[in-house]
Amino acid sequence: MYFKLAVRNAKRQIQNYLIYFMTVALTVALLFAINNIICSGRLDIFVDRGESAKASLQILVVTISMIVAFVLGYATSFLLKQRKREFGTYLTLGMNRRDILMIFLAETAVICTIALGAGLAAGAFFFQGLMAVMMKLLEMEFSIAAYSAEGLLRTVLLTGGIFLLASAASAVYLKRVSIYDLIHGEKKVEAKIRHPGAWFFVTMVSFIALVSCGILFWRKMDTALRGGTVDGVEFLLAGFFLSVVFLHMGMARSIVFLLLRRPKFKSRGANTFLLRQLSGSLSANSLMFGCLALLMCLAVAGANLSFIQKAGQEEALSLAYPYDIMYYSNKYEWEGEIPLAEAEALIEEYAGIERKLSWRIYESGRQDFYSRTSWYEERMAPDDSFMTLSDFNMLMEPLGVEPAALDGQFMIVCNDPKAAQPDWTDMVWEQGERSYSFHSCRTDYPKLTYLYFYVVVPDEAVEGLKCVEESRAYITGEHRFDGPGLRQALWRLFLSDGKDGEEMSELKVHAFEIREYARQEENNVSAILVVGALFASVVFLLLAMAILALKTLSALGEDKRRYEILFRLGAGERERTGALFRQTFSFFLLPFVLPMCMSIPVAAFGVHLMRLEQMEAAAETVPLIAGIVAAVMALLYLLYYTAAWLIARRTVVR
Amino acid sequence: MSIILEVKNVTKYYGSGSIVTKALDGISLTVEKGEFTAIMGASGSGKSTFLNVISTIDRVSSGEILADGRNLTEMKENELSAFRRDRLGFIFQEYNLLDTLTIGENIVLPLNLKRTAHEKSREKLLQAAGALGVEGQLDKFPRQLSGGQRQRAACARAIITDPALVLADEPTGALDSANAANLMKTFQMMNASLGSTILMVTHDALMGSYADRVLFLKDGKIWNEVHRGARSRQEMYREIWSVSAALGGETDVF
Repeated sequence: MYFKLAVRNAKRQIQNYLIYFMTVALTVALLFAINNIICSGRLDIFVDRGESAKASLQILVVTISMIVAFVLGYATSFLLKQRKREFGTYLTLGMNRRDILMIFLAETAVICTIALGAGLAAGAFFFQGLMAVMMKLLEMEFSIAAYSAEGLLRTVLLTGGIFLLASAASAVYLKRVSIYDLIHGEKKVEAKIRHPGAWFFVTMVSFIALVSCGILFWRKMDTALRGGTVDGVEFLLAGFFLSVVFLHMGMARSIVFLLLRRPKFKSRGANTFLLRQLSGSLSANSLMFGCLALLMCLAVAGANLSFIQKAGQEEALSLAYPYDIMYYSNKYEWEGEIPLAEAEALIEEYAGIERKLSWRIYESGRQDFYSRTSWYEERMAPDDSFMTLSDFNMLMEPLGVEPAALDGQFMIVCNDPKAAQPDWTDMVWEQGERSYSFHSCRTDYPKLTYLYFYVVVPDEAVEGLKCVEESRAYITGEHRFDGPGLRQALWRLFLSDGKDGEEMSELKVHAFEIREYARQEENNVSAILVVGALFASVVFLLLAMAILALKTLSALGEDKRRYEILFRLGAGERERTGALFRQTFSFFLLPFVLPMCMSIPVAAFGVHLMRLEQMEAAAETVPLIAGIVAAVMALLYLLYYTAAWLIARRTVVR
Repeated sequence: MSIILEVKNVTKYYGSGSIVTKALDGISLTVEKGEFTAIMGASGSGKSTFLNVISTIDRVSSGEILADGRNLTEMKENELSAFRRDRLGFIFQEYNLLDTLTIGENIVLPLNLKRTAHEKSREKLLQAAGALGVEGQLDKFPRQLSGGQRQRAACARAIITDPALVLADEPTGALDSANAANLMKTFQMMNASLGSTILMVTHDALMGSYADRVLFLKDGKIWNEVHRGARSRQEMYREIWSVSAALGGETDVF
């Protein structure tokens, strides 16, 4: 009986259920896609750290599911309250609360089941789309991925769990509400906003605080990237979060009231009506606007930064690993020898050796240079390291870098930006009978060593210095090869060669920096990061939009009555439609503007970040990424706003 | 006196197919400028439908309605909206004041919709509010006022545009007897001092007795008509009561 009644009621209430249906279906689609990725065998193949990737994604999915349950709980109680008069009548006719709850839950279960079906269908496409993104990130060739029964089961169970959690709020409401309140509605007296001027002041202060936090954050990040010490970032972030919330609270509680104080503006057409409609809804939901705006700002920042990180990855890799393989003979202290000939044979086998370059690092046994750095103060300074100019130019030549000319001076090459902080200009380095003055301090050369910095000196300057490292750089025949495989092979070689066990073998493997291995490692991390950020961002946006749409629809009963009065007073359809559009659009727009605008500073920050890291190509891609993220946001916004607007117009404007 | 409203053989059907209700059955009448007319009848007699078609919020099935010299049955939707805004004033049983607007904003809203200049609107607001005795309540919200005050504010809103016709639908329905009597005196004042033409629907014989003329509807037709002439209100009331009794409808008594 319940089922029959539920199906009939659901059909009748289709308009009210549309937003609920859309949200459940889209959430299911995303859950299905991500669950299939988690359960996909490919995750293990693609991602080295398959288990940890799975665990991270599972934590993300469960967290997001709980947020979804909270929002759907709100949506369910909204649907219940929409029809409280109907349920109140059932109660007066002798039905008990349990029967009513069962009818209502059966209805929402019917909608949820249909949405589950629709969501799974959409999720089938989402999954292939996400897999395509992942495979692109992992630089694998795309092929249709197989669906997983476990992924399907997880999605159905999660949806069931979300439904039950969401229904709990309705059950509690139905248990507690009085029949009188159901039939007559709770007597809500709209709270009058006090001190709109003060709230406007809060708006201005929050705006200034927001901009200041942004600027300070930028500066601090800049300092950090240049090697400086940064503290108090957590306070800046807290300040940013609070500013966003208070900015929206202030705007919602002041702007409309200030407009109402402009008699000429408010006396135009339906402006008074519109402003009063907005004043009530905006002030009552001011905190919600703040929270939604914050949620969407995080979604924008998360999506942008994860993509920006990915965009800069290739260039960052080229700078950090200028050669296909580097061997550092003195990187770690280990027992025994490294069987270099056998290791090179393995490199030949996996990638082919096209060119091999040998170079040396010398130490003076003194800390003339390090004594000027912060490492010295921190008692972490090693002895100064030197490279001859001829070795340096020999290593730079295959990389297409102009050879350096020192004219008998020395040049400091920094791998860590902190090394560029001291003033080196007055430094004169005495070595033997000669002295060398400062030529330059460079941070833009490809990274050749693992040292914080090294000093490039004329060849004769290293006479008498101790050679501590004879390293090699390899240019391989194949630039794309099985990096992890080669690393594994080297590990096995060292294990079989020595008697020192796995730990020492691992240490020895670290003497080889294999770019292809690093690339795949980073790909794994960025694939999880991008897909996770994308998933979380879309769900956050989806939920924010759903809440806005439901809030709009929840006021339609009152709106309908008020617009009916406007109709009787002679407002034409166009005027009423216009007023309703401006009312609903302003309501939707308020928490959406800042996150959309956030794309601009986030993109600017991304460009700055990439330029600091000498990644010009990535810097050019950043605005495109920000544009795409903003476009997707706008699309979701349009989808929900259009649905809410069509329902509102149909209900309110006759 | 000139004719402000002319209703010619108006018929209104509701429903479709085999279930059709004839709400108005060939009604014809005229209302002259400055007249205070009441329409009475039992529940389902068609009085609210009649008021709805005159107030242009519902269409007739056949016949013609001419108001202020214009044929309402031939007007398009946007023209009807403009006509309602400019030439008609409304007073409803539930006041229909917008609860989010102050009393002043409620009263002046029809002028805002008409896009009257702010200074002119302000002047008219003070005039209308002063005439109805709500000038001290302009900054309050409807919920802060008594029922009688709210209905006087609704009256001020109805007359602020100097309408050709003020339509009142059970205006005393939500008021106690003292406030209802006060409202009727206000109607009389609007009619006598401000020259408003009023067409009021009521089922209360006592309220009807304040009108110059009372039309009785039964089954969608005008069944009888009572003119005050030189009679006192008590005599008018007795006449209405006896006609109502003959009509067989339910009327309220003192």
